[in-house]
Amino acid sequence: MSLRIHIGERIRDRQVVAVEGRLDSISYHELDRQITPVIEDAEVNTLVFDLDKLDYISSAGIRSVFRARKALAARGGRVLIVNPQAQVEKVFDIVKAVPVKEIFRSTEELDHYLDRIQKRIVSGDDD
Amino acid sequence: MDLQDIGAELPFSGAARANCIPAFAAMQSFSTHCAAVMQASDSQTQNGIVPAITRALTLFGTVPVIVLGLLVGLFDYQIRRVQAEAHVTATARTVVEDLALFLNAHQGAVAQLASLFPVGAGHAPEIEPSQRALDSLRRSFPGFLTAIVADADGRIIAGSTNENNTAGLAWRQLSVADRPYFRFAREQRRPYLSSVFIGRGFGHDLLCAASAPVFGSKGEVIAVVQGAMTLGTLAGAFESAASQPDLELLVLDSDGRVAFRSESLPYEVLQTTDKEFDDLPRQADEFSAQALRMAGLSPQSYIAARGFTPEGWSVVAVRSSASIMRLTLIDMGLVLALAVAVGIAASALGRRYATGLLQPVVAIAERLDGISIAAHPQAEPHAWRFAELTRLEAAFARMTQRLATSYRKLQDDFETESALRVQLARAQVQTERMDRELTVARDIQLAMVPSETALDLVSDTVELAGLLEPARAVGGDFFNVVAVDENTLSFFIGDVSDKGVPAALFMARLVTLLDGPLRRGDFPSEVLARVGRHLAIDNPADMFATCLVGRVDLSSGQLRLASAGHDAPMLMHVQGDVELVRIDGGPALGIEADADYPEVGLKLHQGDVLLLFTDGLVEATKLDGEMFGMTRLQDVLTGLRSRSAHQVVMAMAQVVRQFQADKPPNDDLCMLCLRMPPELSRQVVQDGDLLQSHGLENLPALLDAMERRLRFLGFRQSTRDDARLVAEEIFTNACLHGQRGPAEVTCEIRSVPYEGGLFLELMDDGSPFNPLAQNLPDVDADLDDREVGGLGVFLVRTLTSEANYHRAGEHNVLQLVLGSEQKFQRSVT
Repeated sequence: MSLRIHIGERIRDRQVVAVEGRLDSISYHELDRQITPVIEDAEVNTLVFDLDKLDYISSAGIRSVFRARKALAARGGRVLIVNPQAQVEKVFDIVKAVPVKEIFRSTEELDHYLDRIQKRIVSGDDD
Repeated sequence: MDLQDIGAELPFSGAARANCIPAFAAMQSFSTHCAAVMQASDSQTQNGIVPAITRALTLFGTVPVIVLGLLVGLFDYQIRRVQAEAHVTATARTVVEDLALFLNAHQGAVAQLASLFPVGAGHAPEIEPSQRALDSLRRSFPGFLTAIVADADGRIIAGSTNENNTAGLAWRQLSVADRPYFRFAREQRRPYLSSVFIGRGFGHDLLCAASAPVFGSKGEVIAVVQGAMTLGTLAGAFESAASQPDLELLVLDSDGRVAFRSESLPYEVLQTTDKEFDDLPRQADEFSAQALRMAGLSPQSYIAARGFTPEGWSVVAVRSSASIMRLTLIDMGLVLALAVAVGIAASALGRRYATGLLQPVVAIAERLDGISIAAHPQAEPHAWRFAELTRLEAAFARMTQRLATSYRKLQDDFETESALRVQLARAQVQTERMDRELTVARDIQLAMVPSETALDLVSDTVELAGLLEPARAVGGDFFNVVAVDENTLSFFIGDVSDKGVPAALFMARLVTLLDGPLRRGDFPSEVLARVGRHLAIDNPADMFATCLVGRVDLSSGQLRLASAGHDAPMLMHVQGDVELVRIDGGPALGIEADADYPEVGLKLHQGDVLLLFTDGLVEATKLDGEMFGMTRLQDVLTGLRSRSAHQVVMAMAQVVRQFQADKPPNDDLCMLCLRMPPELSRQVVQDGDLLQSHGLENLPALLDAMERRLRFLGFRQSTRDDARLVAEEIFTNACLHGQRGPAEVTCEIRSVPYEGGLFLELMDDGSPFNPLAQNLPDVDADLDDREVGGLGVFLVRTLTSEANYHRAGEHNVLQLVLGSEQKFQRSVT
């Protein structure tokens, strides 16, 4: 079982990338290759990795996510993680490659968070 | 009926209604407006156009005439004044000339008679001849009332009157010596003309006397001849000279006393006028328009002219400005009367014209009301006075008819449309219900074929992957794999002849029927024969299904296949050559109750891939009708050498989808792929609990093998994942960061259950590297400050409860314990 990547439609500044299978030292190149255009797309401000069907991740995969996070942070964007499975969540917990508040157990949680961000932007609240 | 009511009754559809309602509102407001206008025109006619035009035309007809009349009056007055001046002057001149002629002629006649008077022998006039001479004079000049001759002493010798001669004789011896005419002629020895006086003896005529001396032979005055003129004979001439009405005449003698006056003038005969007229010019052809201060006359403007005779008599002609103004006012009255007449005529004509002009407008308004209320406009237009209006109304009539036709059509269309809408809404409700049911049905059907996870659990050794994508919500394709025992797998794939719900139900029945014999371990031909019989006997819908059943012995690789009319599977050998497995199958299930399904036997080698599919794969078509076909399938499969079963299925599905492009699939897509475990000797060496591989490329296969072993050993998924992660991190490091190339490093794993956990020994012949001696990254540091890297070692240290590293010869040896709190003792080698 190897890696499959689905890059969905961009909705406003949000791009969801679904990663399935196994993200390891062999397959991480494929992820890097496929998300490069997303990272370079200045319109994308929020990159969401949907890991619902990602069974396994190793440090190489973590590094891919980490790099994407740094690239987006450089222009004020952010990388969010949604639906991590047990193994993946465990690895994320250990290496803390992504702040806990940017990992969401479900799509609902993510949507709620993004709505809050949106409202904050609209209302001009600086917090 | 109110228009809104009409709108409400006409059942317009949503869009049509939305479009029409503003139109209705507009029409309604228009009709309200019309009603208001009509009401207004009933109660307040001055708001109508006809009276307005009438008034305008009357005004425009009358005002110019009035202005013209005033101008005419002004000119009229001026002209009349000029004419009056000329007339006054002319009259004065004529009367003066007549007067001068009269006086001169009579005076001359007297003088002539005196010079030729018959004198007798005694140098004195004799009675008889004198009498004849006087009578002759009076016959020649009837203006003389009397004529006498007196001797030098003033005694009348003879006289002539209109009376008989006796009267003249009666005068004889009367003395006229005191009379001015005698004295002047006797003493001054020349003719004399007296001023006016009242005669004596012969009535009270107003008289004027002319006298002349008669000279003797010695030049002495021997007599005086005198004639008395009656000015009354002149009065008629004066009256006729002043024929112009309003022209007044005044004749004054040389003493300034009135000899004649027009009746209206406030003067009396013989009255002295003093110097009242001295301001008048002395010449008769000049005139004055000044106000005359005539006694008894109101001071007002007069036109006057005065002429003088050589004897010093004068004539004054007078006319008042008021008389001229009166005439002018009469003229203007006529003009104004004309203006009124013109105004009345213009009003009548204007009213007629405006009525003719506006009748069509009223008719059009009535037609509009006709449409608004009944939508049945009159067909025939009127023939109006003006061609343009007739044309306008005709065009309007055509338009209204067209409108009414469209209106009726719209109603008809709407009725049809609303009926269709009701049907559509019902159909939509039904469709939605069916969609919901179909969605549930799809889920149920998809649950009848094994999921990816279920396939993973079927066998530790064989890789299994399957795919079912119904073309519609539900389909008739199916497959399943069951483990008969540890060493034997049975599987089937099939395709019900129909599609949709009937096929799905048939498929459900078929899957259930196949499951029992398969799990019992029946061989394919037996399974098909049994199920085929079952279906054929009880097949009310006359449906059938193709089916391929297989049974593989994992230890020997022996495969038995039987087909009920199903597509033959593809076999890809580990070397990469692809072949179609030839099967002489029996008929499709459900057709014959007693059919034979001969089996084919072949041997699967390690790494061989068997791809089973339904006709939806090879018969997938493009828009232009080109089919995917067996050759293309073979080619694609050849390109998928040494891929996992899952990759084969996914790649194949991807290729078919791309082939069909945007065209919706015409058939279910269904595949089942078996891949025999790759030959371990080529990639991973297994020796008891030791696994070995060479190079980074083969690392996944090594890790796969380890996972299979751990699963075989009964380790939980989380432990397997941890083990895989740890091994991957260590070996990836060894391959990538050593002095040897990534392909040169040999990796070995020994995995042994240990005290409820897992003992792992990871060995590689890469460069010496002790992961336990590395500085660990600070994972609590701010993420933005952290370097990417060093995480692998950190993960290894975190996930393992015990870790021990040593270098043994050319090998790094790392001993780890996972999933156990138990410490383990360092093994001594």
